[in-house]
Amino acid sequence: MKISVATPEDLVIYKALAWRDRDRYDIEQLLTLHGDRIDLERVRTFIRELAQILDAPERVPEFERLVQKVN
Amino acid sequence: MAATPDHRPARGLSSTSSMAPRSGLFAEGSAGTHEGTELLLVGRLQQWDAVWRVGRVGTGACRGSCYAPIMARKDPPSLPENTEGVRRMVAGWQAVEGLEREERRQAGPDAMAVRGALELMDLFGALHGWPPPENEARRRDSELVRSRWVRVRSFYQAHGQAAQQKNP
Repeated sequence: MKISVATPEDLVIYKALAWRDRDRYDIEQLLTLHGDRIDLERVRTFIRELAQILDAPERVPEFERLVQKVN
Repeated sequence: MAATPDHRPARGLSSTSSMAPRSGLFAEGSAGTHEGTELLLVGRLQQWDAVWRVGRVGTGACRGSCYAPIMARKDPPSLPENTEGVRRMVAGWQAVEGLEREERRQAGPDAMAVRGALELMDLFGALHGWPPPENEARRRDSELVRSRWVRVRSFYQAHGQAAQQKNP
């Protein structure tokens, strides 16, 4: 039996779209727990795209700050 | 349960059983039967001296509220000086633990939790009605997320359609 589950990477992207307080907290936790297995470049690409679509350019540096906080 | 005048629980059966670990070193029937165990036991007891300094009145269902915050005494801890004393003390803990387990078994495993939940519902009912009203801030948050999601989805849908039109 095959079960499809979201990868931590996908969850980070999804939560970067929602970007509520609890989503930022979840991103921190995901990066802490799965940071070494997350393709950050892929996540960054998506976040740049989302930031553009949503007219929220501040999302990119805010995400970077979260990454730095965890590392 | 009787407490000594300095609020330190009496040793033996009236000890702080609920503070004792529920398994491992203090598991029933394993108290101090080996030299190494005894050493560990004494070490653990020293670590728990702070626990001894908190007075406790009552047993069984009376938890939390029965632990009075008593100021710590400045004298050194008075632990049993021989292994036999330690054994007796641990046997006392275990006996009280057994009694408390029996009390809990008779009360039902979740009786207190269920009662607490019902009391909370009553309190909510009295204050706001039950179920509680939707949290306005959370509702706004969810709407905002939904609108972001719709915006992103429509962008990708339009983008995908445009790509299909370019490359049929």
